[in-house]
Amino acid sequence: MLEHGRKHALAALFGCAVTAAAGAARAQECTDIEATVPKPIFGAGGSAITATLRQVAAYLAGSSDPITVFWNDPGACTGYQQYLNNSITNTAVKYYSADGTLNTCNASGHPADFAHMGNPHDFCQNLTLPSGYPDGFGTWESAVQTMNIIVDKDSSQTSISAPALYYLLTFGAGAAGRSVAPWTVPANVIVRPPTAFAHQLVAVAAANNSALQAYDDPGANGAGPGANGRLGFRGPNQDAVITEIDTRGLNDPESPIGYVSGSAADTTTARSKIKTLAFQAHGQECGYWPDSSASTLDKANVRTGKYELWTPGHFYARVGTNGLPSADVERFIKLFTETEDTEALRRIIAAGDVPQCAMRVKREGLLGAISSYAPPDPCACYFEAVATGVTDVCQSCTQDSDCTLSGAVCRRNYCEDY
Amino acid sequence: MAARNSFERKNLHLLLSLFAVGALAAQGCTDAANPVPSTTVVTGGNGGSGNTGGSAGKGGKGGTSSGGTSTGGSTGNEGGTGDVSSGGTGGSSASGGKGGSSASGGKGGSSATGGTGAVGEGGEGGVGAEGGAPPEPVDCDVRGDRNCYRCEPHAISPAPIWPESVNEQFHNACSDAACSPFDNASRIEGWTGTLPAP
Repeated sequence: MLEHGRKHALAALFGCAVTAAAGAARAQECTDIEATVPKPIFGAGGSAITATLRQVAAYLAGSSDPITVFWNDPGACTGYQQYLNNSITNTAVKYYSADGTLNTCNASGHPADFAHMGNPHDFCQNLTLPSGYPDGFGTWESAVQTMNIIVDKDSSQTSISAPALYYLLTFGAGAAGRSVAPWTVPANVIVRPPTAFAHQLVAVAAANNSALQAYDDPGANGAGPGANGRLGFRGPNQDAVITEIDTRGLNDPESPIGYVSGSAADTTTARSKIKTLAFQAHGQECGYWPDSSASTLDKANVRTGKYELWTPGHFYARVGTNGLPSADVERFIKLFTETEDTEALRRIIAAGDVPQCAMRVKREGLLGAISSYAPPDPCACYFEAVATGVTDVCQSCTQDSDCTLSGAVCRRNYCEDY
Repeated sequence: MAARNSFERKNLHLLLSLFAVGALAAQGCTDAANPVPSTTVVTGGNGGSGNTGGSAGKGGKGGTSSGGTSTGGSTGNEGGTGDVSSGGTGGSSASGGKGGSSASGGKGGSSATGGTGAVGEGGEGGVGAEGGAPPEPVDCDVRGDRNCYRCEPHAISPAPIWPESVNEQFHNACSDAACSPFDNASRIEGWTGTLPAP
């Protein structure tokens, strides 16, 4: 019996190996997959939204009227260009089952229904615009994403300023007469490609120039990822940036530095390797962290306008003469831009983004001036409860009359300000 | 209510206690609905106090230094003009240096120390400040029934390098959040206060 079982186990293992090998050799075609799943929609853009999109896509896949989201994230502007071209090409387009399982398929020139970037259209360089643009192309602001300047978890550093970032990116680490202590080891400055939203946001924050490239970027001349001994290591994705800082920080925790989105920096795994620096924008007198402390996830300083490295995400979709995208795409985008669906809201918050309803500030453009904002359906209390797990920050309620604070309104079982 | 004393509570909710929240119309945070907070301008700083003359000898008058403490040479110096200037030190047989004149709103100069001459004359007292305009305190009271600050950005002085306009309530004020200052002058080699061209 034991022998029989062992043979079956070996056969199963062999079968898995063959399947895996075949899968590695040739991914399934997205066109074959979409014929078997309900209501497929295809999008492309940057990877900053991928973790959040996965949660929402899984929710949609498991809904009573399921939609299947296919997502290609080669980088913000690269993906956006594919959307403009209406032609998604990638050997590993992601799609998600209802339980959140990640699957991939091969797409070659597949039509694109939507796009997402952290940055606005204008910040992509050298776009090829389709005939008739912008007619027939819609844009919607969605949840807020932060960019975090990160160092090794054992670094003694606590803050960095926008001018310091400018010097690092423009002149290189350790540049004669223009160094910024303690980030003086060129190879330990971990950058992203200039087409990445992460890099563009940092470049604008430092120099008001999204096209600012890192000094001697190792990938600038086609050298690809890796270190060249000057400034720095070009990380192909956010996880690579975190890994590089962690690895280089083993022997020298002070000098590695890089940048990733908040949703990447705030995972439990990431926080065991790196920490986020307080950021002091141009003209600010003190640096602020995104959260009120290093141990929480409340995004308090983002939501109140003290931490400046944030921007609302942007969805893009082709629209009809009524200004609306297709019904399925509209339903998908609305989960990010509106507040009626509490489960979608919960998933967006849990993934690390900040829905507009939790914000008390808005801003102009990518990193422009910050002003007061009063969301029509505030969710600050709900946000804190989901993001931090602390459920007694606000008064609980089932109806408005339960709220003792004057003017408070019961929303999602919490007494919000109004 | 363990998190009641968090920054978020203080800034998003505690401010509510300052204002009665009345019946709400369906309005957002707009300048029309939420008048722009006014700022209170404090006019006139304290003038500098006159100083006690030095006890040294009389000498020639030195040049005027620009700010800071000047040191007398063979003749006494006048203190420089600046935010906080002090008189120079009288030279040998010099009159005491003249206390520096203060800048607008700055601190009056302190007296010079007389020189060491035999017939010394006390230094001239510093000129008190006339009281300029110190940095305007930012009004951190929120306005309207949705607890807003100014809803449109505007230029502040000094303007940051980028962006050109901000709301002071968000930029450098109205928060007791923990923060960590980054001293550009000591951390950036060659920092002059502006961004050098690439």
